[in-house]
Amino acid sequence: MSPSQSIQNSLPHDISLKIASSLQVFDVCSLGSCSRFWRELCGSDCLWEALCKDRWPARDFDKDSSAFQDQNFELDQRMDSNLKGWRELYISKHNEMAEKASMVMNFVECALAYESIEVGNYLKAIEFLKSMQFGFKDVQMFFLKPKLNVLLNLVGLHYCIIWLDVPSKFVKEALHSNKITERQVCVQWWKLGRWFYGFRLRDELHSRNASLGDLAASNAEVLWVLHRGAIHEVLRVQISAVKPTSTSWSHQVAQSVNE
Amino acid sequence: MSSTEAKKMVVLKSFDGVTFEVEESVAVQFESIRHMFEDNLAGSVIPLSNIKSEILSKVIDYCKRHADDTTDEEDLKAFDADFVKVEHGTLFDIIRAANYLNIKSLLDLTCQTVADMIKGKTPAEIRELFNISDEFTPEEEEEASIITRFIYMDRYADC
Repeated sequence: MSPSQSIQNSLPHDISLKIASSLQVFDVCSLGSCSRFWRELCGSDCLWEALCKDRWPARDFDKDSSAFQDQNFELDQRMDSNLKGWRELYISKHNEMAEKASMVMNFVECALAYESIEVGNYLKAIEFLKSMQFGFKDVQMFFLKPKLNVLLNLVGLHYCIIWLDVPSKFVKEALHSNKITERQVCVQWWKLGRWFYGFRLRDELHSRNASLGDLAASNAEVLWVLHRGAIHEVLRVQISAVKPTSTSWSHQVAQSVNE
Repeated sequence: MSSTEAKKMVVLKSFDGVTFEVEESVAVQFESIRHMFEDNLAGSVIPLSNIKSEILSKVIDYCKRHADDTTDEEDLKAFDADFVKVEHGTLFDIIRAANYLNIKSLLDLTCQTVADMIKGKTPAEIRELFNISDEFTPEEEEEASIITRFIYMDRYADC
């Protein structure tokens, strides 16, 4: 065999499929745009079935695909191509999640005052993620991006740790691969002053800076404060980006929503 | 008697006529031809008509290393990493040999190597890497870009 012979001629079909099936969705698509052979192979239902189940492990796809059949006509028109089966399902699910993600981003943007957010709205954003059944992969794709406001990164991070119970190791990996480990947030909270010999002391202000990496690793105090919210003796919790990173972020969010 | 039993040898003959004598304990990793030497055919030559001697010797090297219980895990990892640092043509030949002989661990290793090469690359880079000629007509290119758009929306949205 000459070394210049291309990959598809030198490998059996099932081996090519084995290679493609160990790739992530982006790489499958890149590979599928290489040639007719790879387009055919990367459109294989079995590949996309695995990708679907990998990305949304908790979903019941039998139910989804019957609901999905009803929308087929509309989708055919929109996609204007011969997509079919699991790949189509994947793309439609992906778009659905993208829309939901941009709703949450809009919500956070609107809740922002002077580049910081009150804990009530922050927790509400996390509630939304929960009710929309975001998975760890969805969060990585939509919320852990370096160009987004760090508060959106934090919403995603918090959700993954507290609600999805993703092991710290994987969360750290995700932060690292998106290059957001070092981004910093500032959490401030006010506590009602204690009673002291019949007098109430002044309210206490606490403030902590933490990088997303710290939060994923061990900073239980800050996450606990965030998770608990403004309740009982805690009057108010405010979260903001630590300065140098927060450049005109409302502009950035508007941009990503438009896309 | 038992010591000679333990060292039972199997003779393999490559496509270009080179013979290799391999200990049975190593050759058992060749799942697909295992029955041939286990059926009391010891001593006879097993022809492997579609594997070149160069590749067969590499595969045997790999299996020898992996049959050796005394190697510790770190060394084995280093060996594996080194083992796959070969030209693409050779790598594909090894994949085909591993597939033919049904050596699962070697097949996994080599396929993963190819997958790792693809990771994070654009279609153009992959074409160049594996010398894939661009066979698309403009219409097909357009069609492919529908999928690509969906994908790059995320990857490059923030650029």
